[in-house]
Amino acid sequence: MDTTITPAQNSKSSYSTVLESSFRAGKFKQLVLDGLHLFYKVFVLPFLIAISGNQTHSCRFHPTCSVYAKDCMKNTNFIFAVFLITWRLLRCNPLFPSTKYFDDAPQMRGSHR
Amino acid sequence: MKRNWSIIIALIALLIAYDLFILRPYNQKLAAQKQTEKAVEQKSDTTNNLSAIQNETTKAEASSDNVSMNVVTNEINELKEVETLSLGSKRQVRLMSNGTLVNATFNDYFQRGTAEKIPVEILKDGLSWSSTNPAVQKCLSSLNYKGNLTFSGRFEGITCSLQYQQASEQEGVYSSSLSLSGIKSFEGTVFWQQVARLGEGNRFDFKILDFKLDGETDDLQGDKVFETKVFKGKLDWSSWGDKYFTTIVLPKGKFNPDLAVTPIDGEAVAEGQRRFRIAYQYPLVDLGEQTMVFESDLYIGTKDISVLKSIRKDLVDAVEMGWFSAVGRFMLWCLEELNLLFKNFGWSIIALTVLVRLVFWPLNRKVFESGQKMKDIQPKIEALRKKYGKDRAQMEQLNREMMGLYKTEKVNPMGSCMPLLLQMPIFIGLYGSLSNAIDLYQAPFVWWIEDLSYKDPFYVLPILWTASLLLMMKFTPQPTMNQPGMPDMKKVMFVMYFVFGFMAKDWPSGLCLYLVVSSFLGTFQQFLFRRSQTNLQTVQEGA
Repeated sequence: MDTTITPAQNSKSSYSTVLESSFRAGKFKQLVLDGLHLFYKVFVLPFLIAISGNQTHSCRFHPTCSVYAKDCMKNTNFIFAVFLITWRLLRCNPLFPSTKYFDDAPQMRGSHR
Repeated sequence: MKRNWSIIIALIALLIAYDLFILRPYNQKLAAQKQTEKAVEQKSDTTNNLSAIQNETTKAEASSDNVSMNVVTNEINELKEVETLSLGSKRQVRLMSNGTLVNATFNDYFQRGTAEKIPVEILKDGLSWSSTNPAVQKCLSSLNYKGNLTFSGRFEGITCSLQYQQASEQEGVYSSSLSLSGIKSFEGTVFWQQVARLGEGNRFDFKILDFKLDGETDDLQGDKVFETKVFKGKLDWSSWGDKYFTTIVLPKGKFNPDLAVTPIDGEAVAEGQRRFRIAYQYPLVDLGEQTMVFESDLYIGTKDISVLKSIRKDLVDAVEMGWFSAVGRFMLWCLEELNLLFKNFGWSIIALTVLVRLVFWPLNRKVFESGQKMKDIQPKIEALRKKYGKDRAQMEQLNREMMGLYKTEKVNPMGSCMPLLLQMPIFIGLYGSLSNAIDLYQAPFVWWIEDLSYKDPFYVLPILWTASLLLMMKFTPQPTMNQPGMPDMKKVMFVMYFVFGFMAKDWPSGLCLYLVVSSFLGTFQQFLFRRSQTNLQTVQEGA
C-alpha cells in the first residue's frame, strides 16, 4: 500500500494542498503535525523574528529544526522525539563543535512506512 | 497562491471582528460604569457623607439593571468619620465611628482611562469587624471612638475594644487588635471582613487575592469566585488588590484566622459588577477569665517591591510578574538602576534596549557572516546532497565532505538560533515587569506618552513598530527559509507584521518603545553589515 505523501515541489502549490492530501489519505497524525508546523511557520517564527529584530538567522543544520521536529514526531515516539528536539536546540550554538551539517531525523525500526 | 491570501485575509478579518464585537462592548460597559462611579464620587466630595455614596450607588446600579448593592454595608450608612489615618505623605484612609476603615485614597496616583485626574481609591466598602454570634455582634456595633485610635463598646456584660496603632516606620502599616471579654455563649465566629469589588479599571487590571497558607503561596482570581470558599490553615498573609494597589493583612498573635471568600451578588450579576466578601474568621474560644485578643498587621498601599520586602520578605510573591517572573524582576531591577542615571523610565528603556543589542551584537554579526557564506556556497551544498541522496548509510561520508567544504571555503559554522530564541524571555520579562510594576504606573516619557505601562493613546508606537519591521524587511536579503509545501515566508511575514502591530496596540507603550528601538537597531546593524559586505566585494573585484 503506497500512502507516501509527496510534498508539493513546485513553488506554485500552496501549503493547503499538503494538508488536503493528508486529510484525504486519512493520515491524521500527519495532518496534526503539518497543521502545527504551519502554525509555527505562519505565527510563531514571524513573531520571534519580529520581537528579536533580527530578520536573518542562518541555520546550523539541515533540515531546519521545525522540519526535524516534525520528522522526529512522525518517526519515533513522543518522549524520544521531545528529547531529540531539545538536544538539537542545545546543539544549535557556536560553542558546540561542529561535526555535521546534514542531520536528518532518525528512523525507528518498526515505525518505518 | 490565491488560497494563501484568502486565509491571511480571513485571519485579519477575524482579528478585527474580535476587536469590534468582543473587546469594544466590554470596554464600553466598563466606561459607562466608571462614569456612574465618577458622578457618585463628585457628589460625595460635596456632602462628604458615606450614606450618600451608598444611596447613589444603589440607584445607579438599579437603573442600569445590575441588581443588588444593598446587602453588606447597611450599617456603614449611619457612620460618621472620626479620624483620618495617614498612609504616607499624600495617602490617607478614613476611620469611621465604629472602627471601620473606609476609602483609602492615593492622591499621588490617578485613575487610568480618564482625562481628568481622579485619585486612585481602594477599600471603598470598608474593612470592619462583625460576628455571627448575636451578642458579640451587638457589642461590636456599639463600638465608640474614645480618641487615640481606640474604640470600645459594651453589651450585656461583654466588653470589646479595638485599637489601631502605627506598627512600623514604614508608612501605611498599622497594627490592629480587637479584644473581647465576658462572653457567655461561644457559638459562632468573629470576623474581620472587607468587601471586594470586581470590574474596576480595565480588563487588564483584574483583581487577585493572593495568600500564603501553611507556607505555600496561592492566589484566587476575583472573577472566578462563584461560591463560598474557606481556606483553613496557618495564614501568613493575604493580599487583596489589583496589580498596583493592595490591602494586605498579616495575622499575628495567638489566634490564627481562616480565610473565607463569599460571593455577595451571586451569579446573576453582570460581568464586571460582582462583589464578594473576604473575611478573616476567628472561632470564639472559651478562655475562662482571659481576654481574647485578635491581632494582625495591616498594610494599605502600593505593591512596591522594596516596600513589601521591608514589611515581610515573602510578600514579594504578592506581586504578579507574569511568566518568567524571575526575568521580569531582573529587568525591573535593571530599569531601576538605569533610571537612577536617566531619571526618566522612557530613556531608561531605550538605554536597556541598546545594552541588550550591544550584548547580542557580536553574535548577531557572526550569524550574519555565516549566513552570507552559507548562501554563497549553497549550490555546492546542493550538489553534495544530490550526489549522496537521502541514504542514511552515507550520511557520515556526506557530513565529512561538508566539513571539508567548510574548510576550503573558509566558512565558520556560526549559525545559531540563539539570538532569535534568547530574545523571547527578555520580551516576556519586560512585558511582565512593564505591565505590573508600580514604578512604571503613569511614568511619563516625552510628548504624547504619559504612561509607559499603559497602551499608547494614539497607537503611534505600534504603527512605528510595524513600519520599522517592514523597513528591516527591505534591508534584509531574501531569507532562504522557504520550504516546499510551506507558504512563502516573505509574504507571510509582510502580512504578519501588520497583525503584530494590531496586537501591539494593547501592549504597554514602554514595551512598544523597546520593540521599536530594538528593530531599528537591528536594521542598523544589518545595514552596516551589508555595506561592509559590498565594500569587501568591490575590493575583491578591484583586485
